This record gives sequence, structure tokens and C-alpha cells, in this order.
Amino acid sequence: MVIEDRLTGRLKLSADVLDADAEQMLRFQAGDETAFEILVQRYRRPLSGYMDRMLQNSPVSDELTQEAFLRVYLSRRRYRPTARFSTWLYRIATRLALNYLRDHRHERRQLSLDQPSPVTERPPEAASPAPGQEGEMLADERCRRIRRSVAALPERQRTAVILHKYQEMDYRAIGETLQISVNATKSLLFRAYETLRRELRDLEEAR
Amino acid sequence: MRCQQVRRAWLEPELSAKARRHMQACPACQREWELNRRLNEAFSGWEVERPLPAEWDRRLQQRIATARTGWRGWLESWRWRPHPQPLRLAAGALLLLLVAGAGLYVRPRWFSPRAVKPASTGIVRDLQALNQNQEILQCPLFAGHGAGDLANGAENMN
Ligand SMILES: [Zn+2]
Repeated sequence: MVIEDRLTGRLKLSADVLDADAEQMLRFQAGDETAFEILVQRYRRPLSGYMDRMLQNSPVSDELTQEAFLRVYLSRRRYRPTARFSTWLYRIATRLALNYLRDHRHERRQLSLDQPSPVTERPPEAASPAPGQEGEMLADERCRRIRRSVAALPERQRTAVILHKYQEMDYRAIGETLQISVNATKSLLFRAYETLRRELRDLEEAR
Repeated sequence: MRCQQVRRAWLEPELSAKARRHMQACPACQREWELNRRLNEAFSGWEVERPLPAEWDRRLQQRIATARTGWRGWLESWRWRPHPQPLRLAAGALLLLLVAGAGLYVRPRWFSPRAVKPASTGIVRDLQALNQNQEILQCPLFAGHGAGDLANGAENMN
């Protein structure tokens, strides 16, 4: 990894914490705005996917994804390469998402669970099912149910599940994002998966 | 081994021999294991692939340009300007006194219990978030550096 001498000299960086993203971030701190562009290009898809699943509302997701990058831009001087850039970014985004969910909890409760979520849902099958499509329909139904059940989880459980399943984070990274221990992370996930399995079982038994 | 312990152990990369033995003998855990498999299937069916709106990048650039010249940019650059610490503290204290004084002065005119709102309005939350962001990733590497380094950094801000 090539780092400018004046940076290594000044920050006494240790190579093990300095991933490629952190390197870009340090360039950005040193005034190189193209480094920020690179980070935006690298993370805008995964981050917007994360926000889509967290919020299940595309316009809000787009807005808050932008807000997360804006905060990275504005608070770049506070980034320290002692942790991964992605953890820092997801922590900022998670805080934005959780604040939003908290502020709009009341509105969300009023939405019936039977209504399709406004976005991120694939359109329902138009035609009546052919015999071979039964399995596919069931899979779709399960998926819809899971999406709603995830949305109904307590906010930190929901965050942990989405980071675990879709952002491919390990327990340590999830813990760092939520600022909790590895054990607390596992407990969150354990409770979340217990709830989700129960929901799935109810769905199967109701058929 | 209890069922709960076994199911918690599913979070580990490897299943212990003890957990395996329990599962062979426990129909309830076997059922849950099967549900877990279906749960994972359902997870993999939750796709959110959608293109970001065409104007997304342009809009981000705009927001950055606005924020740089607006109060947020000002706030950030002020936080990082290399004022000596006592001067910044004094300036902060003075500002606080002014705000508090103004608050006391105008309070009787509008204050009523109904006017009290939760403190989570946009700007307050923004400020709180900015404060919290500062807690992120405190770096011992910086501990030995004085205002000079921060001064070098702050020049790049503008
Ligand atoms: Zn059991």
C-alpha cells in the first residue's frame, strides 16, 4: 500500500488498520476531493441497499444515503484510521436511519401490515398460478412476510439482522457499528432470528 | 444442553458435538433448524436492486456545495479552526451566556407548558448527531499532536 510519506510520518499509521478505503479517506482529509468521489462511487450502491432495507421507503432511503455521504464530507476531519472506513460510514448511516424510524414510529404503526410496503417489493404475480408456480408463490409469500417481520423487529435487532444478512458483516463489525460488544450482538441476532422463525412457523401453520 | 443454548450456538461457524447430539435427539430443534433454512431462503429472495435516481449524484454535489457555504460547513470549520483551546472555550461560554440570557428575556412572552416540544427537532438532532460523530473512533495517534497539525489540516478545509 502506497501512502504519502508526509501522511505516514504525521499519523504514524499502522498498516493493519489502513485499508484501501482508509487510504482514500486520508487523501480526502489532505484535500484531495477525488478521493471522496471514489468512496461515494464505491459505497453508494451497498449503502443505498442497506438504507432501502432499513427504511423500506425509496425516497427516504435516497435522501438519507445522501445525508450519510454529506456527513462523511463535513466531518472528514474526525475520521481516524483506527477502524475501517466502512464501519464509520455504516455507523453514520445507521444513526440516521434509526433517528428517522424513531421520529416516524407513530406513522408507521398506523400503516396496516396487510398493505404492501411502498417500495422494494417486487410486483405481485399478475396471472393466477399455474400448478408449477405454487412453490414460487409460497417463496414469494415467505419473502414478503419476512420483510414485514424484519420491519416490525425492535430497531437494533433489525439493524443487526440486515447488517448480518446483507452487508456481510461479521459479529465484530456489527458490534462496532452498533457500538455494542460481540456477545450483545449475538444476543440481538439470536432474539431476532427466534422471532423471525416464529413468524415463519405461524405462516406455514396458517396455510 | 437446553434448546435455547443449542439455537444460540447456531450463530457460531461450527456446531459443537454436544449441540449436534442434542439436535439428533430433539424434534423441536430439528423443526427449528428446518425453519432456519426456509428463513435463509426468504432472506435471499429479498432483493432491493434498483438504480439510484439519475439526479442522485448531481443532487449530492449540490448538497455538498450548499453545506460548505452554509451553517453546517461553518460549524464544522469552526470546530476545526486552530483557535487555542481557552479562546474557543471562552467564545463558547460567551455564546451560551448570550443564548441563555436571550432565552430568559423572551421566555415570559411565549412560555407555556403547551409550547414545550421534545428536543428532537431537526437542527437539535443534527447537532446531537454531529456531537456523537465526534465520539466515533477516538484516535490515540493524534494524542501527541498539537494545534500545529490541526492548523495544517484546517487549511485544507477551505
Ligand atoms: Zn432442542
